[in-house]
Amino acid sequence: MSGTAPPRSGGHGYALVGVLLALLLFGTAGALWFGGRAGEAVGGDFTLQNPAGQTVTARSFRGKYMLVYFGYTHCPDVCPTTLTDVSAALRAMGPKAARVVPVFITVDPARDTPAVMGRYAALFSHRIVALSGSAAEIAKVAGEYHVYYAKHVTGPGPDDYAMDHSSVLYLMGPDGRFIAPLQAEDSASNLAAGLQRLIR
Amino acid sequence: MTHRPTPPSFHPTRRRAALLALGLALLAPAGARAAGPVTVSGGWFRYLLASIPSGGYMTLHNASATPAVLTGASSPACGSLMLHRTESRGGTERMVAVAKVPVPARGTLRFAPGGYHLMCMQPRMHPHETVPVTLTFEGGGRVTASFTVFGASGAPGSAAKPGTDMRKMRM
Repeated sequence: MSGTAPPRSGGHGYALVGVLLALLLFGTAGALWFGGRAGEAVGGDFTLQNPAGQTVTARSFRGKYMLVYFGYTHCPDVCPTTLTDVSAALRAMGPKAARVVPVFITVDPARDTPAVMGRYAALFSHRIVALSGSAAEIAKVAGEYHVYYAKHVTGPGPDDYAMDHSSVLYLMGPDGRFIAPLQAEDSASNLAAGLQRLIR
Repeated sequence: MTHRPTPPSFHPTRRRAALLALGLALLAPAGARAAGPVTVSGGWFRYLLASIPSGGYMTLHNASATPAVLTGASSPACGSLMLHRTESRGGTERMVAVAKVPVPARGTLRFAPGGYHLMCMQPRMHPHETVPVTLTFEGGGRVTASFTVFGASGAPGSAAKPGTDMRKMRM
C-alpha cells in the first residue's frame, strides 16, 4: 500500500541535488585546473641556478622526491606561510623527510637572484633548495609545471609590483614523474599526513 | 612539615603580576590614544629580510553599534604600510591593495595569513621587538597598537586561515 510509505522530506532531495552540484562543480574545476592541458605531463627538465650559483637540473634530484613550489620573496603573505608549513611538515615527518627535497622556484627572477633566494629560504629551513634563473629559464619551468604567473603593478616605482601566481605544491617521484598536487594552503599536519601517504 | 606556604601578598609571582598590571594600566592611555570604539589585539609582523616586505596581522574589535571602516595604517618601523588582501581564485594567489576594510558593528575582523594583511614595505625591525602601528578610520579616528615582531615561522599558531577559530587550531 502506498499509504504506508514514510513521507519523503523535501530536504533529502535538496541535499542530494546539492551534493551532485558540488561534485559537478569540483569535478569541473579540477578538470579545468589539472586537465586543461590534457595529456601534457606536469613537470619536466629544467636548468636553474642554486644559491651558490651552480647549475641545477631536474636530473640533480633523481632518486629523491621533489616537493616543488613556485613563489617569490617579495610575497609577504602566502609564500612565507606555505614555506613555514612545508618546513614544519618535514620536521614532523621524521626519517621519511630525508627522502623529500622541497624545491622553491621564483617567479620573480628580476629581484630574486640566486643569492637572495638562498638567504630567504634559509630563514625557513635549510632543507629547502631555492632556485632562480633567467626569465626564459623560469618561463620554461613554470610552463612545464602549468604554473601561471604575471607581474601586477602596484605603484609608480620600478620595484612597485607584486606577482600573481599559482600556489600549488607538486610532489614529484624519485624518477622525476608527477605524483600528486598538494594544497599549499593546507596546515602543516595535513601536509605531513599527505606526504606520509604518498611517499613509499 | 617545615615547609610553610608563602603568604599570598608576598608571593613573588603575584607581586610581579600586580606590577605588570600597574605598568599596563599606566601604558594603556598611550597605546589607545583617541581610541574610539575599535580596539586591536594580537598584532604581529613576520620579519624576513630588511630588503623585502613584512606581512602584518591583527584582530580588530568594534564595540560600537555602527560599522567602522579602516582606511589606512602607518608605522615608524615600516616606511610605507599598506592594507592588502590575498585573493585566491582557482589556485592562483593575487595580492591586491585595498583602500577600505570594514569592521562590522559589534564584530571582529581578522587580518590573518591568506587574507587581509598589512604590508610593511621597508621593515626596520627585528624579531622579539615590538613596534607601534597606527590605524586610521573613516571619520578620523585613530588607534595605536603595539605589534610583536616574529621571524619567518611567524606567530605560534598563525598558520590558521582567515575565519578559522584559532582556539580550534591549537589542538
